[in-house]
Amino acid sequence: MIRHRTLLRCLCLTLLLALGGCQMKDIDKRYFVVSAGFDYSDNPAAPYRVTLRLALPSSKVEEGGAMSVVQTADAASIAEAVRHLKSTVDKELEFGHCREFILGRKLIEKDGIDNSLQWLSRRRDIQSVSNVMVGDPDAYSVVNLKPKSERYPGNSLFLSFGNEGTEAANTVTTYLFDLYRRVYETGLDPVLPVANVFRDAYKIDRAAVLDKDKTRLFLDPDETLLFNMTAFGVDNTILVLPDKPLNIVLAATHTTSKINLKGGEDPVAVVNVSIEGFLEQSPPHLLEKDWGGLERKMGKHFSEEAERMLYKIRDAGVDPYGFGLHYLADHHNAKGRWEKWKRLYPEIRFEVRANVSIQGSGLIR
Amino acid sequence: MIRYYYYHIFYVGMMNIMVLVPYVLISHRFDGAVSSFPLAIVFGTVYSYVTSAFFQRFPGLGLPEIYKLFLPVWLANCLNMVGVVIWCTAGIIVLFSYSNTVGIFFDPEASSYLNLAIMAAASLWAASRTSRSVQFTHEVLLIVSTPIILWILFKALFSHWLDWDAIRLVADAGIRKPPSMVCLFAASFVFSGHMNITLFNRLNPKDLKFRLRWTIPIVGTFFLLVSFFVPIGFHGTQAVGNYLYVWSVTTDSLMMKYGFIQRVLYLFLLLYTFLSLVFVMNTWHTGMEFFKACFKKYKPATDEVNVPAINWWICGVLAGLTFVYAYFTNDIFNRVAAELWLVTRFIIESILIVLLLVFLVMKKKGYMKRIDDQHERRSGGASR
Repeated sequence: MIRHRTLLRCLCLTLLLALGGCQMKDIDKRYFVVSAGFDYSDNPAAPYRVTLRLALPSSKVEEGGAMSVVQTADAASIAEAVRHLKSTVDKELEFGHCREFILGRKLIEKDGIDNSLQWLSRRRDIQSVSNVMVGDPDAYSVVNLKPKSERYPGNSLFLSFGNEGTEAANTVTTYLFDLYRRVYETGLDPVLPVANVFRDAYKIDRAAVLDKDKTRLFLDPDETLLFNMTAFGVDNTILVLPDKPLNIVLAATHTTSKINLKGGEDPVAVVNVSIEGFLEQSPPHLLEKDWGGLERKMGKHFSEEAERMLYKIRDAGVDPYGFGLHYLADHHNAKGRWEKWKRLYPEIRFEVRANVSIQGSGLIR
Repeated sequence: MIRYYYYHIFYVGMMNIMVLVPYVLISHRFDGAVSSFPLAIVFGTVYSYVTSAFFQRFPGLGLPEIYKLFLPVWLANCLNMVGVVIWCTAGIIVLFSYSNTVGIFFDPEASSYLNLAIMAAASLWAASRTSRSVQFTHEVLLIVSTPIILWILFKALFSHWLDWDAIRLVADAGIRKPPSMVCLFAASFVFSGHMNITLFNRLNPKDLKFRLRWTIPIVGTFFLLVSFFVPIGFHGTQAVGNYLYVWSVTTDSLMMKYGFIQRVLYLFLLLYTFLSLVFVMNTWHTGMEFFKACFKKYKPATDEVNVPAINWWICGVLAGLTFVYAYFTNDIFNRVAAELWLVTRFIIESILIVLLLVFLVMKKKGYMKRIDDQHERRSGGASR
């Protein structure tokens, strides 16, 4: 009986030998892609240029110690270009750690985002929470940059987004799943951050608003800030009231926004924004003189600026806020409501109701 | 011991994701998925009440023994075989779709049979234990995984990427359409945890009271709404239809910024490994016991010290069938098979409910065939 059992156990142990053959590639036989860029080359036979930044693993983790190589290939499609790239490197490409995808500006203007998006959404090792952005003037320059501040290759770029590293007020964060949803959704259009190289760093302070496929409008940094506050309610932004000799600046610590549609036949799109913060720059004793008045003045100024930006977006024929989706959700499944909305949207009026509340003068001394 | 009953209710509620219930519902999201929800809730609740009320009157008896009380042997055996088929195919479909999901997201380079082999081996071993062991395993795995699964669900529910306009749009568009049958069948699966009582009632002591039954509709409705609406909120009304493993993609859209691993997907799949294992274990075990009950010599036992060899053989055959199924099927066929299974399950469940009501009437009128004193002894021993 005991011999029987021992034999069985030994037999089970031999199964462990099979584990080495689980068709796994070891980590030292993999190249980790940290950012990928897609460009449009002017060659009609191989229009897609894929640029990958591959991390060289190093034992030290220190500022400026990040090593990486950049590889480029042209092909008729992105998938083929990635295959071609594999023949130029000695290890298997691994996309599991790649969270930055940069689409060249020219690619989007000429070819649209659809082909890139198809590849991105079909690759199972690509995370749905990857950041997608537009590279200006091209993706290659953004991928090729190796900032000195990086602790490990590629972290500089993804720390720029969300609130992981810097909380930049005019960086729009678009994840891959959000982009995919916006491309397909009726009444909600995609918006992408625009990254370009500035000295030895990335500058991501503009946004591109797309229709379902191509860019329609580029927002400048100020408009991007307004867009971020009104559409996403991004915290830690600023609010400026022009004044002489010095502008009054409110550091907004907390922002919430909500869209609403009022009126049936002649709707008004209302954006309710409430902004909380403290003054970061103001003439002395301004707040004490007229606290409520200053709040109203700042709110009015913000509303005017935001409305101007909204009209600009409307006139470009895009809807990154999702007013259309909101309209569809409001109007109980009536037939032809989408056609009706398409008629209404170019004529729609906007009203931004800003509720600024100043928490304090910011003075500590 | 009432908690064991609710473990089943709870885990089937969470398990619906792996049986492609959200996929079926979402593919019908504009034509009658939402309007079938109220019906599914009513059906699910009523069925749970009927089964629990019925089995409460027959403590310590599984469905095969009850068949024998009221029906001729040949009919009882036929009904048992129907049970075997419906339970075992559920396990096979889940095992296949799970190993496929793992193959896609965990280790795309490995052969899909490898994942299947590992899972099948685990299921084979787990399902061939005694009913009591199965119940305990179920409890342990569920207690480990439920809190984290609920955490993921709530994390998704309170995420600010969740688009409530899309959810409102689908809810509003769907509720005005006539309910779709397929969606009713799929949605009622969420409530079908009570069906596990057909076997595990053998373990229930005599004085068991089914308390807290009002929680069943609440739990079921919660899981139903979450598993349908959260993916829509994340992927929008249109793009959500492009995904097959819609919940894997949804959890991939969540982030644990300061977690050990950032992708929630891996945590989620790990937890669903547990749940799938529990599901396959329960279904195969039930199927196995139903099959064994067809033989004349068979005496229902729940606490054998040594597992009879027949258990290994039956579960081994089921594991083999899973491989055969995996060889001949693909993703698209599996989708159809899952849908078909959901439909059949509901129909058979409905027939069973009618049958149980008939049995109740027969019992009241005194048509019970024989009082099995042997079972009395056994169930007395089983109740602790």
